[in-house]
Amino acid sequence: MPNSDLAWSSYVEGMELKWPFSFSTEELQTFSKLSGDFNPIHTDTYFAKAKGFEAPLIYGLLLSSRMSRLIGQELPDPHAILTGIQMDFISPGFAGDELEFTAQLTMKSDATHAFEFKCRITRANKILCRGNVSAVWRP
Amino acid sequence: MVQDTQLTIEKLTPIFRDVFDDEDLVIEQNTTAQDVDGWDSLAHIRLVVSIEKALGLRFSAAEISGLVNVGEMAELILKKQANA
Repeated sequence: MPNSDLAWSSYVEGMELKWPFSFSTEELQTFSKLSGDFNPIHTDTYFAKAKGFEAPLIYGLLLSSRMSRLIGQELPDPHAILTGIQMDFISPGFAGDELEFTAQLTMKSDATHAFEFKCRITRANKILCRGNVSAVWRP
Repeated sequence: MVQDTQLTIEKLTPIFRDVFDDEDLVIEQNTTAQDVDGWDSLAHIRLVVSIEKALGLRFSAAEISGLVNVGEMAELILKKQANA
């Protein structure tokens, strides 16, 4: 069996990956520059508190960036290319929150080497957002 | 058999229209990738995965790589459904 087949066989439906993470206020400010979204709800503690939140809200697309880490960094090999994401934001996350990203492989197509993960981000087991990410494996 | 193939192509048509984002797309037995705008390698992956999900089938790489047109795809689907 060629090595590439061995690597593809290491992608198993049901496999689960998870890791803890958090974002600091400084990282939200960096993302504001990268995204061009300077809404103070994400970067200004006083503004966020005036709106009734305990701290600046994490950008939804910054939360989604964990999917990029999943496909580019956490898989058994570096041969996957992101082809699509879908994510629903259920409740807000804040700078400094201790979060956890969890992904489960739900579909693997041997015909095309495409696969999908179901993902969720939680804080103390409460879901902040959930969605799906699709990718294709190209050794 | 020809009638079954045509019926399967009719079932495949909405899948093709969704994948290639073309509500007017018409596919026939002799339709190939060259006939459909945007049918590149990544679109081919989306198409096969969409067909697998919609029809509850799983193809192998060998089954897919040998197909030359939509008619052969429809016949492969009929064969797999018959053996299911």
